[in-house]
Parts: sequence; C-alpha cells; structure tokens
Amino acid sequence: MNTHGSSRIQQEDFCADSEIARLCHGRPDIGGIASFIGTARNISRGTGIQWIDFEHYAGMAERELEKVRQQALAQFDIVGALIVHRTGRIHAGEQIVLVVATARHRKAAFAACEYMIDTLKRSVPIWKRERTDAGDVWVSETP
Amino acid sequence: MRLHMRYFAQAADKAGCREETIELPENAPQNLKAVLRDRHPALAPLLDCCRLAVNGEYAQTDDLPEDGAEVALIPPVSGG
Repeated sequence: MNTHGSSRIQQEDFCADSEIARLCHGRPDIGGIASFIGTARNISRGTGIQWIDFEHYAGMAERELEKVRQQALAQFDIVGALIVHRTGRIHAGEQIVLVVATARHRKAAFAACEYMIDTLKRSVPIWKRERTDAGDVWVSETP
Repeated sequence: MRLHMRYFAQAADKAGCREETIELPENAPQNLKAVLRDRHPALAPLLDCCRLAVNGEYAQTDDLPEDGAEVALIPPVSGG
C-alpha cells in the first residue's frame, strides 16, 4: 500500500517549499506536483475579519485527516500526498492549510489535491470562529 | 450508565461547558440526542445538524453507546 507523505495539525505556520521538497525527495518518478494553500481572507459575507480561531478535536481530527490522505492515495494514481492544517489563532492574510499531491501525470495530481481539500472540509472535526467587525461568528457552511 | 461528553465550537457555547461526565438511569431515552436535548435545552436548535462521535469515530446512529464511552457532539465542521 502506498503511504508516501504525511498529515498533521499544528499551531505554527508552514513553509510550502520545504514541505514539497521533503515530499519529493528521492522520488524522480514524479512528473507533476499539485498544491493548494488555503489562506485567511480579510472579508467574509461582506464583513471585515480580523482573525480566525481554529478549534479541533485532538486525536480524532488527526485520524480523520489521515483517513482523507489515505483515501486519496487509494483512489488516485498518485505518488505521494501531504496535508498540513493549522489550529489556534490565524490572522487575515496568514496560511491555514496546505494540501499537496505528487504524481507521474498532472491530472491525477490535480484531482487528488481537490479531493483532499474538499473532503477534509466536510469530514475533519475542525471549526473556525471568525472575529468580525460585528462580533464573533462560528462558521458552519462549506463553500 | 456513565458517558464522558465532549462539546465543541458552538455546541460548547450552548452547553455551557466543553466536557462533562453524565450519569444515565436505566430508564433513560435510548436516543442520545434526546438525552442531550433534555439536559441542555439550549442545544436543541443545533442538535439536528450535529453528528455524534463515539470514542473518536463518527457514529452511524444516535443510539446510546456502551457504558464508559467518550461521546463528542460534532457541529458542522468548517476546517480548510
């Protein structure tokens, strides 16, 4: 079973270049890398956002995140997969999540990357509360 | 029976706590959401859109789990 890569939840920021370099190290069979970085907008539903507080169910969130990554490795013709999600307070403009898929060909990399971000938004027990100009708001929709 | 409850996000706000141990009599409702509705009326409007997790795994039903389980009330998630 292909398990190349990893997933984790952390407070600190991440460096996409370093993460991708580590994922690709020693894998010259890779022909394409698709990545997605989610960042904190300063406007949501027409209201200014100062920061977002992320909360997660420690233990279950890590396991569900890893399930998403394993599902991508099982369903798509990819070489490796990586997911890093931040928690805690994230200010407007900062990075929230990194998703990377490496593959021999680009289509599988794009598809796996999209699958992982779409699925984690529906299944991993992580919640965001936005500090807006109008007060604190728990976000419950998944655009 | 005894359950260790965990509440997250808006569910924690409504329940007024993040975790608690609840003792259930033998004649308690067999549906866990009904138990929570009785215990925390403020949770009622949220319960229909919440999922339950038992011992860290999404539950397939709202039935009462086994004695001693850790049960989490999971409001709609919003990661990413």
